[in-house]
Amino acid sequence: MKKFLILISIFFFCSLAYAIDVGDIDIQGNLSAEEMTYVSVQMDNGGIDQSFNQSVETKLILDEEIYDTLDEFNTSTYTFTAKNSGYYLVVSRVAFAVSADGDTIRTILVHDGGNNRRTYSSASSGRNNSVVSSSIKWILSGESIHLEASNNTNNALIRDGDGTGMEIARIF
Amino acid sequence: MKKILILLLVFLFSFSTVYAIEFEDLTIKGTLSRPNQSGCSVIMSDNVVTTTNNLITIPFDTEEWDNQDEWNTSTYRFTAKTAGCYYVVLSTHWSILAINADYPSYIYKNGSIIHLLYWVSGGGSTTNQTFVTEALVYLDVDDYIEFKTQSEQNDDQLKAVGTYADIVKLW
Repeated sequence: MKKFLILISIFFFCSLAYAIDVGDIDIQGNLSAEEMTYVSVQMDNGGIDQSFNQSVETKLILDEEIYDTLDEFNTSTYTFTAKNSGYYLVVSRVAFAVSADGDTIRTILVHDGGNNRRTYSSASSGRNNSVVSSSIKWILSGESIHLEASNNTNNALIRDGDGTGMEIARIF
Repeated sequence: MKKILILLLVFLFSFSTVYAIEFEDLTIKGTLSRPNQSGCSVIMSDNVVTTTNNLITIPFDTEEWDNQDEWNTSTYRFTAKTAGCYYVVLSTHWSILAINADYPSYIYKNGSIIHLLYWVSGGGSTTNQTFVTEALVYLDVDDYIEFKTQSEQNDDQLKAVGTYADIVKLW
């Protein structure tokens, strides 16, 4: 009986350790995880702004990878391909430089396998104009997303550097 | 008998702790609640008068919530206690004393710019305007976040109402 109780106690101590380890929920209830998607990319493009022709939706050159925890972003095709099905939060900021006041600028989150998300704004000439967008997307394993931009009124430039980038995180 | 009681107590303690961690906040339908999840929401107690092209650290001196005590209301920094992916929202509300002027916002990590929001006042009048940006930021333990902004062409005023920052750790 005594040995049995000792064994039972050891078993539950092991269970406790296992639960804390695999769940990564600390004793205060703060959740962490290690094998989750987190991608942070921005435009480097050799330090050169990306040029766009009027009304042509063009894929953004997001060629500088800051984080890519599961190796899901391709810096040659500027495309994210999910390894796991789930809900993903996608956030982007795109900095436009335009030649005329009132230009209609927009970004398009293109989802191969789902619906696209378009964000519109109006720009001021002689200034950098950010378009910020976010979306929670259900993405299946193997599906891809990438970011495009356009100026419907004139040719335009997209600023390289800290002003143009995208992050993707799997929420659950 | 005494040993048996001790072992029984150990058993009960172990079981109850495991139960609490594993099941307390996860319902049978899979809805997860995390009332102590890292994050904060902070605001300014007063308007801030700014001078032309002077980059300021936004003085968020009031916490609406701060689950893990990570925001410092004196240094205006969020310092992570656990590593992970954080969702960050910044809203700045300017008086706008000139149209077609620049009001960029910045998210700094460990003293360096990581995200920059360009914004230009528009609308043909000097009506108050709010500029919102967001980002997903990975932080290691002791990494810190600050928020900065400026009015590039004019003296202006950053309004307390409508200026805020929210941070939540996703995982």
